[in-house]
Amino acid sequence: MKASFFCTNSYLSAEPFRYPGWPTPPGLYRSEVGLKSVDVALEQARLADQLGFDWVSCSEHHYTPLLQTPNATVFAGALSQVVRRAKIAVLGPLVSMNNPVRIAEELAMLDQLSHGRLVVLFLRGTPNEFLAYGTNPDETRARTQEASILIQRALTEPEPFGWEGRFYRFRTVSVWPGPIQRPHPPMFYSGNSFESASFAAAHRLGLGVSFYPVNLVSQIMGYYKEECAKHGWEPSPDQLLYRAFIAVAEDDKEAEMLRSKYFAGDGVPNFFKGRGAAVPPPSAPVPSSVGTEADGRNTGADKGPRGFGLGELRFCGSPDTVVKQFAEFHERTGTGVIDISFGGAGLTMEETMKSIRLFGTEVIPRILDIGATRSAMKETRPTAAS
Amino acid sequence: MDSVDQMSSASQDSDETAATFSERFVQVDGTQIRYLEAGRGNPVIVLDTGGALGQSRLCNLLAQQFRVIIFDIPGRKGSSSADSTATRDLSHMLARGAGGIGLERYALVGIAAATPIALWHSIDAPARIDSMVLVSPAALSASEGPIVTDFDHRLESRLADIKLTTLVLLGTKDQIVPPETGRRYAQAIPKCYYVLVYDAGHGLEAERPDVLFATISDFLERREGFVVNRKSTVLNP
Repeated sequence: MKASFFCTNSYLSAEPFRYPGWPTPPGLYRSEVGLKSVDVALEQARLADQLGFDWVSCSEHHYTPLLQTPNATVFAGALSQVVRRAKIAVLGPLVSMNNPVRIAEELAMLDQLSHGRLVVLFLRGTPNEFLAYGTNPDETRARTQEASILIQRALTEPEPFGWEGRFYRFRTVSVWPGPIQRPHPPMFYSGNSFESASFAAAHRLGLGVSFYPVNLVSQIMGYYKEECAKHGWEPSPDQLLYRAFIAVAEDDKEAEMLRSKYFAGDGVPNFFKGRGAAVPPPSAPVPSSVGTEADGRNTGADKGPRGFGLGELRFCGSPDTVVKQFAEFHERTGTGVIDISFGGAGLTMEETMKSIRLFGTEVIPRILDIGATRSAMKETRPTAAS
Repeated sequence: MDSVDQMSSASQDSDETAATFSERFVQVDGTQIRYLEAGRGNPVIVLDTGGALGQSRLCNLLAQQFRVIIFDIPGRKGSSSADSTATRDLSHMLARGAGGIGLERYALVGIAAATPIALWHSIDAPARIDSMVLVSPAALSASEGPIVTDFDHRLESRLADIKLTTLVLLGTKDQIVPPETGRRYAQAIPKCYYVLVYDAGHGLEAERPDVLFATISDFLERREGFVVNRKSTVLNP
């Protein structure tokens, strides 16, 4: 299995996390804390690279101190200069609400800046985020699909071309620089629903599932593999990605102490409070056996206390325990890459750093052979990045 | 050569875009060629080998803005011919037919299997054509390797001679002419614009007539200038 360090660039002061809703007022931002936050985030990324994480990731999110990366590609540009070995995973740009050609250009730049280490996932966004740029939530699924296809085309087409889509019109697309990796960097699609898994399979995209409990991940990954087979291909374990929260401690007792305060006062549930609760449910039907989607529908399917697992600490324990949890997760889902956030806002900086170090030194060496994909990864790692 | 108006209505759409196409005939070297005509404005000749002439929503929409002439290509309903001589002869015949009905200059729209005829016409009589549109064109294969034998090698070797501003439209889901084929036209024809229509197959005319019309009409009106967005984006003037 591979491990990806989710670099959240969280704001390092509790004050704005206490604000009871979304968006967080900009007036709560303090420059000195912001500077310290980004310095710490980049230092964590550098450490993760040194500890042997296979990827270092970031994601676009808006108007929140929890993830100060409203433009993930800008942050990934900085990551590309401090992370010298691991892949730079943008998981991802919110393609439902941005200019897809601009995203393609930024991704190409990132592949150049990282010397061919870019990985990208096309993300739809959480319901509250559709308010950020005034995107109609009912259109976000279709916009995400079209934008993903357009980005893929823009990164591979050798001639200037025009695009007449349902949501996007461009008469001249001619991306420069082109990607370093050919035909394009590894691409994933956010797949927290069966429809999205089908789309990913049909377009030979990897699948990324986030926060769901293992039974739902197993359902979706299994369905995705079946769909891939229908389209005549088989995804590698490296194309099955899962994102979750983690806490690692010296022993299980200490880890449970971390669990008890992990999310305390953080902003995760706040995404869906205040204006963040304003997104009306779209009218299209959704599958009933899989939990909440990005648009906020079907919130009951996951039975978790905070909706579709966004506030769940999925992996927690001593190194031994976490290795077992990873092995079991892989066994049940086939997932080959786990993107993990150590960023519980209820933890101290020392607790977070200790958790990262313990994972790097005592877990990573013991998950290498799970799924036996690491040797393949070594073969494909660009020499220019080493 | 002369033209005969039979004054018969050839098609109607049920919606507000329906245009009444008149069925007419023109004699070319002893052969009677049937054509349909509707609309006013700058003339646009449409070459199509499939479907019922004049029945498409695209043609009806075009007839709201242009004078549309749809030739019933002799021997149509077949696939694209690899017989260079036969295709070229057809293009000559249709060019004389256009002359026979008094058209000196016009825009040319070739659809699917009729595109080789349009291409030969643009090569042999460039002075007659303002600009050319190729919809799901079937004159080249997608592959950049060996060309499959069904395609007209002579025509391919002449594409660089086309000086017209040309627009090529292809659906991203076209299973017959893969969308990547568009880049081959863009590489071969000096002033060629290549546009992909998202989520559409080979039957662009039937699947996405409105976007096809919007793009084609904009191109016919503005030619190279169609790449510039002139639509106001002011929300609150």
